[in-house]
Amino acid sequence: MTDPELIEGILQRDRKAFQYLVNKYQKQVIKTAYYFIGNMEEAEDLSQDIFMGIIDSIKKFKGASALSTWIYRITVNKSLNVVKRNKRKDIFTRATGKEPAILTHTMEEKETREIMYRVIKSLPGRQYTAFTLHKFDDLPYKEIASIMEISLASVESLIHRAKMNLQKKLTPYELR
Amino acid sequence: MNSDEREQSRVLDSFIEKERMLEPNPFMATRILQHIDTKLGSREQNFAFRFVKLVSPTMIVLGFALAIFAGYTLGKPRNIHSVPGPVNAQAIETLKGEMFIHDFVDEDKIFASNN
Repeated sequence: MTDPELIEGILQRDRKAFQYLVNKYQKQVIKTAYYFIGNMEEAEDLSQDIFMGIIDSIKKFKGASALSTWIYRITVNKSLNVVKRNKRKDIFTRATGKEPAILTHTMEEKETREIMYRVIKSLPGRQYTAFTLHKFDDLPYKEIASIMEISLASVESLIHRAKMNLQKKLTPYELR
Repeated sequence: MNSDEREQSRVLDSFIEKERMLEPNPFMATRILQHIDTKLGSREQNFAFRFVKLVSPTMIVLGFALAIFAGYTLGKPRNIHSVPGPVNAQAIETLKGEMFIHDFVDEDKIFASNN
């Protein structure tokens, strides 16, 4: 099924088109959501909303970019919303003195993982998005530029600054 | 880049590599499709429900309006005009003959002549 056929099928509310869409893009969507959120369960739950969002807004897709790029854009936006919501929740739990249970202290690897996600998420918004798409999703600068709707030079600059910032932020930690 | 920075970079890269190897639940596609079906189904139901919710009061209001209109129309005093039919002289003569009437009495004329 070609992208135009898929789009037409989704517009016609064809279940086969939905199946094709989900089978083709579920890995991309869930993995990207996971790289942003850092929690597989939440990423999987979010993927359901992402696919629903794709179906609902497919008529807005004008074909200016590839369908996969457009799906990346929706995934990134929805994932960033979850990250923001989780940050607010964290602030609230800290303010109310209810610290979430930390299970990672006993396990070095999990602790490292937690620190890494915390540090990466603490990057400024656009640096965080560009860095995640480049390092985790392994996307080329050109596609990141298209997803984020910015220039290629901006992507390069954002990723460079993200790396610099990460080095600074990771300095206090003794990671092995 | 000093040795600490190199180590940080190595740890970061190894962390990213491990994260990239993680695979989502293989049955997620079924769950996602189920979610889509449920959402679209409930939307259709909602549409039908909203339609019924909107149509019911409209039908009741229309019913009332129709009843009032019908009541008004049926109860309205009507002007009944008697339309005199054409006088058929031949028919009158026949009738007079059958009923042995020699002539019709013009009561008004009699009343006027008496007074």
